[in-house]
Amino acid sequence: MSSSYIIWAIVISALVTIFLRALPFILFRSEKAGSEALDFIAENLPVAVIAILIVYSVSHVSFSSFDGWIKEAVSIGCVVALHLLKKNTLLSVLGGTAVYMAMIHLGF
Amino acid sequence: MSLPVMGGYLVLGFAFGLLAVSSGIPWYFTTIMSLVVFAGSAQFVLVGLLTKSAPLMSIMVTILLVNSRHLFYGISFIGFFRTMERYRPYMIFSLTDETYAILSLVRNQNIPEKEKRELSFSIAALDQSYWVIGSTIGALFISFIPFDTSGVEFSMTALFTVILIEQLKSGGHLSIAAAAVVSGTAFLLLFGAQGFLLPSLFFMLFSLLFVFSLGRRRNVV
Repeated sequence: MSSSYIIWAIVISALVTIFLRALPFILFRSEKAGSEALDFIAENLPVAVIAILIVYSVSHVSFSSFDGWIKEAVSIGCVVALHLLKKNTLLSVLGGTAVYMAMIHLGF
Repeated sequence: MSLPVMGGYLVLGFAFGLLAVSSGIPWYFTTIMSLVVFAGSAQFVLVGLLTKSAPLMSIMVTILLVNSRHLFYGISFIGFFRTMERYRPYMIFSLTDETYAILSLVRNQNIPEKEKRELSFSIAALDQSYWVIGSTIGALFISFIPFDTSGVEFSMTALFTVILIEQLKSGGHLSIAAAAVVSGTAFLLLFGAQGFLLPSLFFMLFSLLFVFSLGRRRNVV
């Protein structure tokens, strides 16, 4: 991984992020300037994006064998259970990651 | 008021630092990323893309789609940020998910405008400093005390899972999440891990637009 590649990637990511954060303030002068379609996307796209990112973050899994996906499935299950029971983001993230790392290091 | 964010950003930042350096990114780039990009989930995704040597063009489009939700935070703060005066550029730059959540509480507080402005700015600046400090410590830690971090990348999955649960609790549709997981998995099987992210994101964007146009037609008729 070359430094110039990393630098360009950081510059592009920073500019895109700033562009997205600043655009509403440039485009819209009043609070209710969004179109209906925009409002609908605003309300519903984030759920879809995050759900896809979950799949993305475990995209190394393989469905050809049980071992290929069970660690991920169990750990996600732990995160969901912890979060529904304790409602503490930090605990859910740390707990789930600890379970996953434990399974890997114990050689499952 | 930034206290609830402190633990989260310090620890997640730490995990991000560990992940970035163990993926082959030098520690100082981790700090620079947290300073200039400052977008939690996008930074995790960026590290993944860098590891796969993704072309810069697909990095751009992916970050655009992943961070597109920030557009909608801005839309709801247009009036509020007009009172920010000299802090306004930084407030716009630093509007992350967590800062947005806290500021939406501050906005409705009944305090003098000057006080609200100072409070909002310090929340935004503190949130970013937790994130920068956390990721730098994580990156330095793993640089100088190398240990087997295999599995730490699951912190990203865990974070997204928690965010999704919170979204669903505050009115997000389970059906949309399910459709995204199913179509995302189908695209994964079809295109493989390298190239399925963008098709999945675009598929859901167009599906939502399609659903919206169906709904509107029904209302009009």
